[in-house]
Amino acid sequence: MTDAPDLPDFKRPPAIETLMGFYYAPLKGWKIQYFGLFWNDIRKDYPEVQVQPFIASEQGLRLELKSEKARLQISGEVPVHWQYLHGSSKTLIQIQSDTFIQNWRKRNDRDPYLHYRELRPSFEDMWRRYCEFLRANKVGMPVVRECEVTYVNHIDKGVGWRTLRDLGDVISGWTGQTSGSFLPSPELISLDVVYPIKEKGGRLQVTLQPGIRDGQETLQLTLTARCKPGSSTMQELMTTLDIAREWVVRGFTDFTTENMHKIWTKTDRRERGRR
Amino acid sequence: MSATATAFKPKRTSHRPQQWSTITLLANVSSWAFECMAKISEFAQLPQNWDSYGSNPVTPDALRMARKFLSESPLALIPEPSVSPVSGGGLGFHWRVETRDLEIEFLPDGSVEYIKTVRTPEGSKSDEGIVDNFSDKKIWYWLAGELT
Repeated sequence: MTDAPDLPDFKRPPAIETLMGFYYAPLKGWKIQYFGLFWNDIRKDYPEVQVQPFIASEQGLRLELKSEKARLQISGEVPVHWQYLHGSSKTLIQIQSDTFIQNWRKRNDRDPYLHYRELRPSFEDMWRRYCEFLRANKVGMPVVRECEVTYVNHIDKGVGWRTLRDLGDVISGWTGQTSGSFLPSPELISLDVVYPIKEKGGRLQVTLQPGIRDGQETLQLTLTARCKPGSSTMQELMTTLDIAREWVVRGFTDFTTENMHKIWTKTDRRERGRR
Repeated sequence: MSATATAFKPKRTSHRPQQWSTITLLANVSSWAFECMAKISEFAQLPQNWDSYGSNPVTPDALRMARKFLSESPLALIPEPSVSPVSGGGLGFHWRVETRDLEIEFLPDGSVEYIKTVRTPEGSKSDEGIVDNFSDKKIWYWLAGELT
């Protein structure tokens, strides 16, 4: 893959986690024992597992209320969600009957930044292995509905902001102004903004939430791009993933201020010639 | 004629379950914990000699551990404390429930200690120690009188 030369880049971005995922219709023929069988295939690299509650997808849970009857309809073959933890504790694979996700996280400041170009091959390789596993076990192949790229950023207090009154120094669209003088300064601000991605029938969701991580006050800025692939071929899926990632990067840059770009050392990709 | 309405699961939640990294979102903490966070931020601004006895300001390590306590403890079990700065650069949380007193002090070096006291007609009996696991529920059951 080649990045667009004008795609923004940062030397010290605040990203602490990256997630790539595919969402599809519940697999035909999927059985609960396949979670364990797949673990056997990857156990050398992913020695620990956790079983978690099933995460309902947007299409997965629908409540229908009719005048004659009320009916709760839950689709999905197996109501569990398995997590496979890599030996490095930096990578996680999450699988359920309609979802395949890989996460990477920074455990501390010493861990290097999570470069998409370095993570993408790992995701492609694990997806390929998963599809081979499904094929070998005669499980229906996934018909992918959405491809997702998420970046979770932690903008710590003291880095460009000290109180929520400074939010306009971080978020480009935030002024905090009111039309009168009645309201005091807010004690909590949460933002949830969704932008359409017309070229792939998708959406970019941007959320900002104050939080505490290991005793450190921070603003969690999460950007999630979900796009619809034209087919489920590997090339189409990875191309769709690339578009989602581009929306996350450009969206992050647009959503944040030039003041923060200086702190994160925004660079010209054409000069750096990498990533 | 039958009317039909369809309600879909909300598409956006405050916390995406797919996220791996752990964080406590302030929107999800109890109101007293939120107010404690605000007080802690105020105490972070205290100057040198804030107590007029030459005390240092509250240290960053003490502040960090107090916030960590509020983000990792089982808040549903914990009543609202009184919070105050402690001379020397620490922070103290104090609870009094009937005959029981509990003090948790966040020391300037980031260590955390507790002292719990039971008051009886015969006098008071105290016990103290180090807090090294904020998720431990035993001390809160003790404060509620469910453990001796």
